Amino acid sequence: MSKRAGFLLWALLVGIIALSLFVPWGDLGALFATDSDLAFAVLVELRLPRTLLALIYGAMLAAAGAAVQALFANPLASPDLTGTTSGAALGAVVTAYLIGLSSPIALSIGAVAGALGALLLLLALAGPRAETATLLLAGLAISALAGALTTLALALAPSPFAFYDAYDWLMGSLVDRSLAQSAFAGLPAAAAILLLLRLAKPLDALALGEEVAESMGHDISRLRLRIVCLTALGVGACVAVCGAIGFVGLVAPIFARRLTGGHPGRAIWPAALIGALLLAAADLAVRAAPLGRTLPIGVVTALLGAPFFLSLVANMRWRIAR
Amino acid sequence: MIRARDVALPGRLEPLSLDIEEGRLVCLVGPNGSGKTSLLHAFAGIGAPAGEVEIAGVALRGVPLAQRTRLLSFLPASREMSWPLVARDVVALGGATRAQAKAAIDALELGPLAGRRIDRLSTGERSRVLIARALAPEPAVLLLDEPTANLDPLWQLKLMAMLHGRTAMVAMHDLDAAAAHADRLIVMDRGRVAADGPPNTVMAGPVIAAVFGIEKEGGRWRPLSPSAGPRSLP
Repeated sequence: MSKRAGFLLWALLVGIIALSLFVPWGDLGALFATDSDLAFAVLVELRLPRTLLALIYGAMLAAAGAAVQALFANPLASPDLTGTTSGAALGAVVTAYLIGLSSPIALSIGAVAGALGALLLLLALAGPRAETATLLLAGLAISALAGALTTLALALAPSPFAFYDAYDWLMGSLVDRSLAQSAFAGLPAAAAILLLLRLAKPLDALALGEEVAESMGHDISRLRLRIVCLTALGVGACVAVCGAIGFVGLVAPIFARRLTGGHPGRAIWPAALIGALLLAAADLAVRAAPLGRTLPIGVVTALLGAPFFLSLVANMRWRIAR
Repeated sequence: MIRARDVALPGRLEPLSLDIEEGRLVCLVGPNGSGKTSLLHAFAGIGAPAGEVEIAGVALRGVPLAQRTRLLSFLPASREMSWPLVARDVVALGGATRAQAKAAIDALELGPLAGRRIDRLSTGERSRVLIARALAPEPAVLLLDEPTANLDPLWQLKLMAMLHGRTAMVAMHDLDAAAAHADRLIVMDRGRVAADGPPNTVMAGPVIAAVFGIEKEGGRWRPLSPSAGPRSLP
């Protein structure tokens, strides 16, 4: 990544953090004039967690997307299209159904286990270096299965309120999360991102093919296992707190690779920055949209991401046809 | 330079021990599925081979990654790459320094192609880029799987001339080219070494006919006639 591109990304990120914390300013500014303690509390307890979650969840999805794409040697692999986020959602819903929503740790563990299960199932179904079509079909099957089971768990929910709560959460939302909840999602995700960054070099070597990477001394099975576990940990922890958010993990790595001359491993870092930027911007859009009520952020990323995904598929027909 | 003891890949390569002196160009020939690639894989540490390989007195197992790229380079038979990198970046991926990568690009005359995406090159051009990637870190030993495939005749000659004097194991299908360029010729058959020696001796012996089922008549290769007797190793 060139210095200029890096600087631009950081500058954009700082800008979006500032916007995310202080926009809309009108009511908050008025509050600062009358009751600065309360205004400060709003800033720290409402806007800060929301901003932090947007940044870390976006960065996690994008870093995981970049790593999974490099691993599968496939630009269409991403946590949502491979069923990882649906698996995490299922894990969390099942945990909530069994022991209730009272324990955030149990919810996180359930989501991480669900994500891990989905990724291992994907590896078993599609194989370690799957063709695009196989990968997407396997991911679709896993997503469909996890989605159906999630709906089943919701349909059996004890009360309609529980159903509504779970549904709202599933749609992906950053609203009304506490600082503690941000930490539950943020700490595992930050650790996972930092550890994924250390895999940039072997993943770049993997661009030369599995045989060459192995001849250079990289242990590919261990690499695969690490990426699967780190992705499950980070994405699972985020899904447990914010629900499933799609397409950031697909889109951000694609832009990131443009900054790294196509190097798949080196793209993890800029992908994380771009992912943070995208989700924070989407959240800003959700807040600014004059609709009277707040849209689930997952709906916004899907509305923006799906057309991008479609254009990507159209552009890559040659790859699938091969 | 290379010292291999009881190297094996289960189901693909029987245990074998070999010593290769410094600066020797060893060509591997054999029918499809005879174990040429498996032998290169086993020496490069691909697919969890059994046994011990030493290069320049250093055991490969557990050697640090940075040191390993100075010891060996492996070129796979496949010329496909998953990501559309620029040729110059592909050459640099093998662990070469900037100066080494530049030298390799010059040696393979890739200057005009260096800024082009590898998926937009012809198969032969792509081969040269990947060969440059393997040569660039100037490793002690080169393990090359069919490096001359897809190259035009002039480049085949240039490449073999480049390899002359380097410690290299090269799998190839062209028996005449292998015999002409090799310092030592190894014939593989069903996962075992069927013959190993100076090219003239190996080519003159009965093993070529026995392993490949072909013979030379009037300077041209042709299939053995069915009456030539059962296929057996000497």
